[in-house]
Parts: sequence; C-alpha cells; structure tokens
Amino acid sequence: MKTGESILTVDNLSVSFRTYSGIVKAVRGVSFELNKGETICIVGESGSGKSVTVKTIMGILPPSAVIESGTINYKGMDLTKLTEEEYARIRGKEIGLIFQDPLSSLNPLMKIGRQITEALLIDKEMSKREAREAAIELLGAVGIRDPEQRFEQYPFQFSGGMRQRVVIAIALARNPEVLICDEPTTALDVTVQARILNLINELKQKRQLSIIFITHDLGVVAHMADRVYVMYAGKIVEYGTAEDIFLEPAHPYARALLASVPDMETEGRLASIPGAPPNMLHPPTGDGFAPRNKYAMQIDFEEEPPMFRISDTHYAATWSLHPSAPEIPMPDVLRERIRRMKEGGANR
Amino acid sequence: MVQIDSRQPILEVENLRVVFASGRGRKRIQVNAVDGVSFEIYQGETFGLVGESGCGKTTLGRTIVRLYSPTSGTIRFRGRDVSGPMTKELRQYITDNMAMIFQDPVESLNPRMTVQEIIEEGLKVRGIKDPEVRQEMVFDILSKVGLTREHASRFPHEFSGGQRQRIGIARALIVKPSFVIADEPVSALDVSVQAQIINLMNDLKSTLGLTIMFIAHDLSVVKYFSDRVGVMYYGKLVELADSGELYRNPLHPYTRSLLSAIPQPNPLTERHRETISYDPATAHDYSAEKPSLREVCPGHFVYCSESEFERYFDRQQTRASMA
Repeated sequence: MKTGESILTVDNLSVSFRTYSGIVKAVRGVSFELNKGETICIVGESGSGKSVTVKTIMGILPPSAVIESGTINYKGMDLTKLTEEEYARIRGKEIGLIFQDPLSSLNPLMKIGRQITEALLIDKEMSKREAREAAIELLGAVGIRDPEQRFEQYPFQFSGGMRQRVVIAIALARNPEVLICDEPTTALDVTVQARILNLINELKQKRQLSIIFITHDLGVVAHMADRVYVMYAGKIVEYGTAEDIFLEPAHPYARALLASVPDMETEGRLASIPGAPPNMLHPPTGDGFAPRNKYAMQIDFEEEPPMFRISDTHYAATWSLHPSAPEIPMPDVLRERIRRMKEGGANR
Repeated sequence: MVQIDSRQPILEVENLRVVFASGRGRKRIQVNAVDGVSFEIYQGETFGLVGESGCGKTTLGRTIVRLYSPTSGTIRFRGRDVSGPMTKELRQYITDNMAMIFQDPVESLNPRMTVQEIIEEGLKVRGIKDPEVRQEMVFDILSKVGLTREHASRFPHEFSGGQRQRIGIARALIVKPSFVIADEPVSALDVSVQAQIINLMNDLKSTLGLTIMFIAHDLSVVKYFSDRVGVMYYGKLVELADSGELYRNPLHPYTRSLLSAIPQPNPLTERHRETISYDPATAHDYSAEKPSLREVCPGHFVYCSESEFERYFDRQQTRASMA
C-alpha cells in the first residue's frame, strides 16, 4: 500500500450533523491516504458521506456539523485543529476545490476576470496588472479561446462546459498541490464531460497535482482513478487500485453497484439492488449493506466487519472475506463482464 | 413480452417544428427548438431519444402530449391528427391515451397532497365519483409499482427518490394510457436505484402492453432499454436506427462523437479512450446539397446530403460484406 509519498492522510474521521430530528452520523470512521501525483476516486451514492468528507478537509462544514473524532494530516498539520485564520492560508493555496455546479459557484454579477484575479490578489504578492496577466494566462491554460475578451465577460455569457473551465482556472489560480473535485462533470453533457476530464488529467500532469475526485459515475472512475475508495453509509467499505475494484470487487456493495450499471453489452434483466440506502439518523449496526445483501450472514447484522487484506493494494470490509465464511459467488452479469474486460474485447 | 408490430405505428410525427420566439421587431429572437423532425413509433416498442441538453428532446416530448403547440407539421396518434387547435375534446383524447413521467421525482409531486390524492387526481378528472372505487384503483396501481396500500395516506417527503419515482409512474399509469413518454425518469436517481426503476418500467411495459418513448442523455441506459433509438442534435433528428445497429454502426459524425464520449466502467480500456470531436461547420459541406433524413439500409436513417449518403452507403456495404 505504501507506494509513493503520502501528501494527505485522513485517519478515523467521524462527522455528525445536529438536526431537529436527531443526530445524523454522516461520516463514520473514514481513513484514506492521498499520495503525491495520484488521483483517488471516492465513489458512493448520495448520503454515503463522500461530500461531507471533502468538506471536512476543506474546513467548510456548516455550523450544524461536529467533527466527532479523527485527524486530517496535511504536511504535518492536523487540519481539524486549525483556526479559521490558519485555514485561510491552506484553502485555495494548498488545496483547491471544484464544485459540482459551475453556475452556482460563480458570482453572476462579477466579470469572469475579476473572479480569477480576486483569488490571485488574496496573497498580496501581485500587482493588479500582474494578476490580470496571470488570469488571462490561466484562462488560456484551461482551454478558453480569446482569453483577453473572455476576461471582460460575465458568467451568463459562458456555456456550462466553459463555466466549469473558469471554475477550474479559479481553483488553480493560487497553484495548489491538492485538487479536490466534487462531481465536477455531473451537470455536464457527455461530450463536454469528456473534454473537462481530459483537461483535468492534462493539468494534473503539467502541475504535478494530487487529486481527490468524487463521483458516482463508475465510467468516470474508470477513466480517472489510480486508486478507488468505495463508500457506503458513511464508511469506506473497499479500496484498491482501479483494476482491483473493477476486476476483483470483493465487498457485496461494490459488486452489486458494478453489476447494476448497464454497459453497451448488457442484455436481459438488470441486476438491481433491492431497497434503499440507510437513513443515517439511525445508522445500521454491523455491515451497513447487510439489509440489501441477499447473501448477508447473521454476523453482518451484528458486528462491524474489519478491513480484510486481499492484496498489498486491495482491502475490503466484509465478513465474506473471513477465512471461515462461505464462498459467495460473483453476480453472473459481473463475472461475464470481467471476463470480457480481461479478454480486452469489452466495449469495442 | 408484447409483440412489436412494425406495420402499425401508434404515433406518427411528420416534419414537426416548434419555434420559440421572444421580443419583437429587430429584437426578435427565434429558437428552432424542434426543426423539421419526422419519425414513427410502433405499437409495443420502446423508442429512445438521446441528445445533449438543449437539443430539443424534451420539447419534442412535451409537444407530443401538447404541453406545447407545434409551429408546423403534424402529429398523428393512432391515425388521428392531434396537432390541431386545442379543444376540450382533443385534450381529453390526449390525456386518455398518453401520459408522462417526469425527471425530478421531488419537483413533480405536490408536497401538500397525499400519495392517494396525487394518484387519484387523474381519475377525478375522468369523472369517477365514487371514492371507494378510486381508492381500490389506487391500491391496485400502488401494488403494481412495488408500493403498498399503507403508502397511500403518506406525503411525498416521506419517501426516498426511487419510491417517489414509483409514485410518479403510478400517477401516469392510473388512467390506463397506451403510450407513455418518460422524460429522463432515472437520471435524478442513485445508481443502485436506477436499475430498480428500469426493471419496473420494463415489467409494466409487458404486463400493461405499453408503448414507451424514453428520453434520456445516458446512452448506456438508452441502449439497454430501447428497441430503436433516435439521436437529436440542435432540433434535428440526425440518426435513427435499431439500438443494436446504432451502437454497432453509427454513421452520422455526431452520433460517433457522442458514443465515443461515454465513459465505460472498464479501467483497462477507459484510460486510453480517444474521444472523437464533432464540429458541424467542418464535418459537413451543405453549401451545394441540401441534407435530409435518408435510409441508408433498412430501418437505419441518417440526416445527410446526397454525397454523404453515398459514402455512408458504401461503408455500410463494406461492413455487410465483411460480416
């Protein structure tokens, strides 16, 4: 597992929300590691806690949230202990963030150019003129044509894909080392999505970025990820390299998720997952996925599974990996698809 | 499985145009949301319509159920022209036969009405006055969409996204339509719930004998769910074929670009995927020849000019001879 140098380490993080209906345990003991120059994808459905995890890293949790336990280690600092002033020096400068919706993350009343120079001028190391030049260069770097003219325009004059490029330019303005992308392409069309994903990969190479990429689209995960963390009900249930997760998924949720998505070859009935994700007001005991898992054993409902080691890079928290657990078959659809993938003939 | 009867179109759309205009005089702006689209949907099939946002696919669906009025062209349902001026009788005919399932299961259900009230509204409009009869019908449709009669007295906020979409489906189907337009019915749902709803729609389609027009932007889902697929680009239908044929052998450059952009859950091929870009200005030369929708091989239509047609036809022939 210890490949490369770790830049960001999250250890046993738990975050809860105080609401009128009670305490929502959104993140329950999440640990992961981001190595220098790699892209990790955190996959999960709405309510799995993936967005809360990155908001905690950025220090932008709403007031109702409480960090119950855990540490976030970045360059020897524990981010959970920082004051707001200290955070201001990390946020944007060390760790950049791209949100899902490019329209609501831009100020509609402010020219694009000023929104970028605003970020550049925070550090007070640049004159306005220098900031303007740097911003125009950034616009060019994220693939916006005629950056000088575009600099003077407002967000409504940009298409969805172009707006997301501007958001990326703002996130990169202060040259962060870590870039967090929270579903950056979910609101975009597929052809635009393809271009934005390629742009992010290109910038990663050029600027030596380390990326945390959040998404629920398994196709996008396959395109972007070096390593993958699968989240369910506030916990990481499996992690490994992209090949580990797509070719040898072990946790019943990871398997069910992969099997339920149709690809170009899918025929017959879809392998749907019964039920719905748990309500985190009443977090499940044991394996959170057990109520939706037809192979669940008694122990899955009672006791929380530890992380079992599958290989040096691949770990999963499921009792089915316990030496005395019965063999659980891979869903047919998935076994067939993995066979096709390995033969290299899958999906044209 | 209901037999698809290819000789019997249930819906015929001919040269349909929908124009939205704003301003007047020199400030007048005109948007051709649907620009001369023609196709047929056969009894018992699922017809998929794909395209990117703003291509006019939703406008097309809404015009068919006459939420919008066509600017020109005709829509015939079972041979009857439903594109004319709206009368009380025509509205009744359309709502008796066609229903719509919407994208957002939160926005499309009235939060102040119980599930019972939401679903039975269509029955009330149709003059079923006996509340007990209505209640029985609601219970019946709830069990068909995988909910229980206990759910009838609850409010929408008590349900998960997938369950809400089931309520939306129940509301659409309570009036026993023969033709359903589903506009992005699964795109707001979680991945693990999408499969449930697609399976449900497939089941209902065969038990109730529905014909479905499925509008979506997720091409893998459309491929899986549809018998035939139409691709729209800027108000025009650029390609139309059996779903297998379209995905195996896309001819129009836009369709090829669209297909090349879909990320697949396979890290081995996905990391090296090349996307084809499409720029209508350089891809076609329509200065001399006018493009139109032409049949390249049986059932496979492409929007192209005469010379493009010959090129596509040759490619098609070589493919066929190699197979």
